Amino acid sequence: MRSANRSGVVIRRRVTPAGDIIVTLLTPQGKVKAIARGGVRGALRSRLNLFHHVGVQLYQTPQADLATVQQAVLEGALPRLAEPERYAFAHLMAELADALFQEGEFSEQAFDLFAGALRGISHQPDPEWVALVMSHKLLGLAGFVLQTARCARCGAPDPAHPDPLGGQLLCGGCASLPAYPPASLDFLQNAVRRPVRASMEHPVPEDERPALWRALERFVTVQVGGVHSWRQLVPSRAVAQTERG
Amino acid sequence: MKYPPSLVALIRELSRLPGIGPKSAQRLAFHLFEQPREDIERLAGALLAAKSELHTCPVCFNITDAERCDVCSDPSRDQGVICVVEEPGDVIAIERSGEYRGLYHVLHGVLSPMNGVGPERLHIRPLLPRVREGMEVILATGTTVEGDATALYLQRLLEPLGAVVSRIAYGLPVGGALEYADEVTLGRALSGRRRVSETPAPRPQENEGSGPTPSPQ
Repeated sequence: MRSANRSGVVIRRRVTPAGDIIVTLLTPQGKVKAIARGGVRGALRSRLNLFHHVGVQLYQTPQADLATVQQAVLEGALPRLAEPERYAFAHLMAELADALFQEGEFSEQAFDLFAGALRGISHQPDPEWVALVMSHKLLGLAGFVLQTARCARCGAPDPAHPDPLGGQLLCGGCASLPAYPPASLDFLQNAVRRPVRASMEHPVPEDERPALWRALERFVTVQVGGVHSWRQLVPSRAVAQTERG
Repeated sequence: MKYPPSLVALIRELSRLPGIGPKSAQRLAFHLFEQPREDIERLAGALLAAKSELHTCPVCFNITDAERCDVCSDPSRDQGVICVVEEPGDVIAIERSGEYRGLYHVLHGVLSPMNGVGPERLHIRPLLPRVREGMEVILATGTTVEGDATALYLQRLLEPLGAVVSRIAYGLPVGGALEYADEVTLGRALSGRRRVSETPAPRPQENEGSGPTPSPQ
């Protein structure tokens, strides 16, 4: 039996029919999954909310699969993440963090990057661009980097065309789609190694972003696995029009 | 010693119920075995009847065993206000308060992209033709991030239709002491504070179509 204090962001939250809350936290000490027994009826329900930064006291017994949350203190919340134009991007970040980082895998950098991504999505006027930049940064940190120097199929140098199957870059000979515009190509080639601030100062034009999202979706699906949030990454205005129609 | 196959099957089926683990399922199975045959037949009959007769109301998507639910088929309910809730259980909770006499709309969930729940998975589309200009829509989804996101999404969808959209209040429970309130609830209670001297809001029976009381902010 041991007790531990952790500080992290809630990246998943599920309420069981019995009224327990099962949360996954991303902390500097890695991902932690824990259960708050009877959580929906107590004070923990408001603290253990999605995207909340909480300090928790956990209690783990050798027999139990999950640690039990005994105390939780709210350390920060970003209420603007509930806004329709930001919400799906925050979910994508949380889902990516959940898929990319494992329990017990210490990474202060991953926590800082993820927390920064949520802050950016909450506060920046262009949350879509924050999500694109930070998705690539998170993937890069976890070791998933686009192969940009050589064609993903034949190995020819300087590929510039989209790979509709793997989300990588293809040469003109292997590709069936037109080349990326210069700004998009520059982003794909440098997103991982360029500082976040520099990427944020030079956003790719909005009309070029759907191709970048498609490439990212293919790359993540092939390299990491299925992510549900893609389906909701449609501008809220378009969704509203569809609903009304 | 092995359990007989029929007992194993019963335990397996019971343990599929929410909140029932293998041990509870085993206890329930032994309890059912001890009961008289007529009690078991009544239980099985109730389960089958509920499954065959219950369905969602085609108007508000609450659970009913009639063509329309009790609320939708009651002409004395205020037709100028719709309360949007997450689950059928929320309708029962609000009805218990006795403070609301309008209509309902049950979404059957909240927006949650990471769980693959988007607007198309909720009963949002059938809500739109129910909303008329000047009608009040009370967004009574939960106060979680998912509930707030769903409420904000609906607000942006309904306000262009001319609806007066309001959100249920956040705050302290009745009888609650400030000392024991958690910081999130207390913060919401403070940001949503109301002037003490303002005219008390009319009872819902007198004027249910009125908008929410504005905050001093």
